[in-house]
Amino acid sequence: MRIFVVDDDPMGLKAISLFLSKSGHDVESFSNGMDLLTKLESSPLPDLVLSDVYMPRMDGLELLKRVRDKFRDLPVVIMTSSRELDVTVKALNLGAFAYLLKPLVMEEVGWMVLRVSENNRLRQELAQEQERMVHSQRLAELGVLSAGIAHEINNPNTFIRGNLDLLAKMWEKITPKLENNHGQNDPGVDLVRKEFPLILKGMIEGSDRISQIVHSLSTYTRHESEPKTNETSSIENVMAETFSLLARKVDGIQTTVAGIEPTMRIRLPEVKLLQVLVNLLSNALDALAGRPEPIVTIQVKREGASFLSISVTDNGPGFSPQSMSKLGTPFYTTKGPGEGTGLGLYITHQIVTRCGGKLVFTQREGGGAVATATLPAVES
Amino acid sequence: MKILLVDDEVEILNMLKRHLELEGFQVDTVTDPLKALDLMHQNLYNLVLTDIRMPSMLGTELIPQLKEINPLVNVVIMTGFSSMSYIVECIGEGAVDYFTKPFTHMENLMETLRHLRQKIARWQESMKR
Repeated sequence: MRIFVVDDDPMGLKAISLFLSKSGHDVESFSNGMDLLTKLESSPLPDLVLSDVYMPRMDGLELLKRVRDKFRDLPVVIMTSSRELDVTVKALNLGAFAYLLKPLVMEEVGWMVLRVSENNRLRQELAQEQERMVHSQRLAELGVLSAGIAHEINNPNTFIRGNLDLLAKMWEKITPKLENNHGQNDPGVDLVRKEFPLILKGMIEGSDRISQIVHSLSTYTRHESEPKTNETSSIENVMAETFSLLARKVDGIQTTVAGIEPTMRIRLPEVKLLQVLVNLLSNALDALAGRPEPIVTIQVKREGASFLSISVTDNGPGFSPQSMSKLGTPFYTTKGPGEGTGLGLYITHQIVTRCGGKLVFTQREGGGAVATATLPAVES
Repeated sequence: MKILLVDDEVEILNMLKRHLELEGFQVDTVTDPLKALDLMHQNLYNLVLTDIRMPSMLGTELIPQLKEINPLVNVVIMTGFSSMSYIVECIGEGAVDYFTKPFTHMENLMETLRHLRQKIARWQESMKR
């Protein structure tokens, strides 16, 4: 721990500083409160301030008040004597963490430092937990908001898409006429004839992309209202279906599947398990695009009596440290525009955790990524 | 074949109307389900193509009322992302088919309608004989 000690008595200061540094702490000593305050302003905060009460220029109570004003979370322990009970009470009222009675017993000082360190740790954990809660609440709000937006976007996208189909139909009708009426070359007409179908195609693709995003958004927010089921599904069947769905992507990539037994069943409806497997496998396949000797390995293992783990390993580029912490955050994607909505892993994560499972990402030794879904399972 | 289109989004009605008229169907459109019921009293529709989530009425309420006016009318529903269980409920009320918006395969919808037209024609033929 980093500890600041302040005492106007040089002998006392030396004794306690020596004791604390011998116990492995990083100690800085000060002979008056002003110096300590200046140091607090200009350097990273210590974990604890140990302060004497009676000092010239600025006494311990004044120092305590100023420290509490500026650095609320910094614990201050005051050193006082049994004859100064009223001062001690004042100090505690001002927010001192605790007091030590002079003459100091070093064991007691050591014990106090431990208590402060434990307290700091707990406070830090609490702060992190609070941050996590705020974060997950924000995500929940985002979910509700997204569902509303998805709905609003779907309607206009419906008539945009439908009207584009109409334009395509009309274009088909009119092109022969454009050819007939213009025997000789008209550059303007030629340009339209060349560009119009491409423009239409681009717009139809754009609209389909919108509907894909909207659809993922609606599935990602929907399951709140879904009833709990006791459905289970055969991992063997769903794995086969996964591969048939991704057949074109799997083409040219060496894949091995190991550890699946016909009796293994996952406590998830087939559609959900399919969504999980398709997502994990297609992420692995996407990571391998254009890489030499691409390999994907799927390993299924029993984890105790009631869980199965499914690991999907690829020898692609793996995760960067930044992307690692953001995996499973909605709308975060490492893929290029149009290639991913950033919702796949989020949905997968939701499905896995809601059924009581776990989704973990690790780096593969020698490069590549491992995604492991541990899911509740039964045997049939 | 006479079709009534019901959707609270007027541009969706316009778009569908154009598609259906290109196919040679006769089409009326209405944004308010209550007005749809009025129109049902005045016209003999072969088909009602309707949204199932509208501000003034839900599909599960509208379908039985349509059927009450004209028991022979075919109802096909359209939906953004209603849950499957809700779609099933609407089918339970008498809808014959459903389509999800956006219609990325408009041809499927048209195919269903052409099929229905043939069925109706055959049925009318047999009535004449």
